[in-house]
Amino acid sequence: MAPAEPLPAGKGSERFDPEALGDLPTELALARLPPGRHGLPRTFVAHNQRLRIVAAMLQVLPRHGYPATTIGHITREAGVSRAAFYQQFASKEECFLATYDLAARWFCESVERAVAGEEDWRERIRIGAAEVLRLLGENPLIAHLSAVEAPQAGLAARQRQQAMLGRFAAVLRAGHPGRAGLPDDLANLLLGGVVSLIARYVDDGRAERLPEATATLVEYLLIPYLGGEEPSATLA
Amino acid sequence: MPSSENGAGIRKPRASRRRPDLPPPKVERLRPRSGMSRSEVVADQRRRVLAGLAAALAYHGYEDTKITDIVELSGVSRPTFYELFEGKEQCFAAAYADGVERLSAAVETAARAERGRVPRLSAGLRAGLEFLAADPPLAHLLLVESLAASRPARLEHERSLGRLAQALCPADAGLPGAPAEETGRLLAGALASHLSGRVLAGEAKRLAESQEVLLQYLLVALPAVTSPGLSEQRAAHG
Repeated sequence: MAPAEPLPAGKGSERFDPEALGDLPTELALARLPPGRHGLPRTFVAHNQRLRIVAAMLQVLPRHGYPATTIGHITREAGVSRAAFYQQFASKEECFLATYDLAARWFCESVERAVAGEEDWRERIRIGAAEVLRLLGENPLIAHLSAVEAPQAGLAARQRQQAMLGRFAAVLRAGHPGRAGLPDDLANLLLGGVVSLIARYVDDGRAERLPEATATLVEYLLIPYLGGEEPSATLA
Repeated sequence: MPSSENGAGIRKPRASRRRPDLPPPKVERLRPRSGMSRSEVVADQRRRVLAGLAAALAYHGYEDTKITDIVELSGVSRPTFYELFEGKEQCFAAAYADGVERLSAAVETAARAERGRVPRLSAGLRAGLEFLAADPPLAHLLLVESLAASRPARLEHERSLGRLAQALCPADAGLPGAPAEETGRLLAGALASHLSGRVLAGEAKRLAESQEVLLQYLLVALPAVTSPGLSEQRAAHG
């Protein structure tokens, strides 16, 4: 299951670091995120102001929450002037949406990569769920952004969240075993519960522990499709 | 300045938050009867303020709602508002608590009238949906604004979802290998999220239509609960 782009040796990218994207076009940059764990000093110097601002937005949001976050908070964190901010974004909301789009894209692509090539539907769900929680645990700021802040950031932000969930719903639905009596909306229903759970971990300050919920999450996703017996065999 | 077209003279929301599908809100204002006791007057004022808040929130969203909006919609004076509540946050907390209490009462009353797990689930669900559908601004407050309001409001919402989780998934009926609490929490979140989505789509009045899909979902997601024999079988086989 070799990836198309030559990722750096070792583990796949675990840490979302917008500033490390540097001057590369987003498409290329996303494929070259360096591996790393928390607290490592950045090895890239960020020349790209837009990405610096995005990184700052991500950092600043949990401190005050979206409504109370000001452009001043963001520019101070990013080390850019207000003028520089307004060259990139017309408003706080626009900056938020750009941040969300970049993070969501990285996140979705990472998960889709992890499940690509896996034929068995159950295995895909198991790998995908584990990867979702692992990535969010490694990147609590993204968990915060999507599960906690997006509902507070206006209609457009909530629509973005719906779109991202739709993407995951498609992964959930693809190739699942048919079963009589399933509600049409099952995938969307299931994912609504997942977001709610993530929000709870984030609000409790234990986003890093999301991977602990993996077994529960896998069973929760599988049982409606499979019934009561098989999921325990899957986890064995 | 207040326009004469919509008689309430309601302030228009900022462009980014405007909900074009919503008409400006109105709150029913009962004229106080003569001979009402002081406590009845206060209770009525409180009811109107909470209703005014819900109406304002549905139109402006939490962040953009001003005390002015609540005061105008509820027909109480600004000093009266501040006699009742310290501010927007406390007013919201009271409206939320009041709403949850009434919703829970409706659900529990209906569920208790039935026997058997599935009939109780079905009756409780129907009662809850009908309660919310009958009061769209309150549904919006409980399901949508609770996530967008202050952090204490979010934490209170989290507690409500926890209680719903316990009601759906009592400790002895969890899925194998999964703590009942987490599973119940996922289910409660799924319900709330679905309803929240429908309210956002402007379908609050039609929430009762979700009865079938939500009941179907609960029945497939809770096999151990709805078929009590199953958990005993599992326990026996290890």
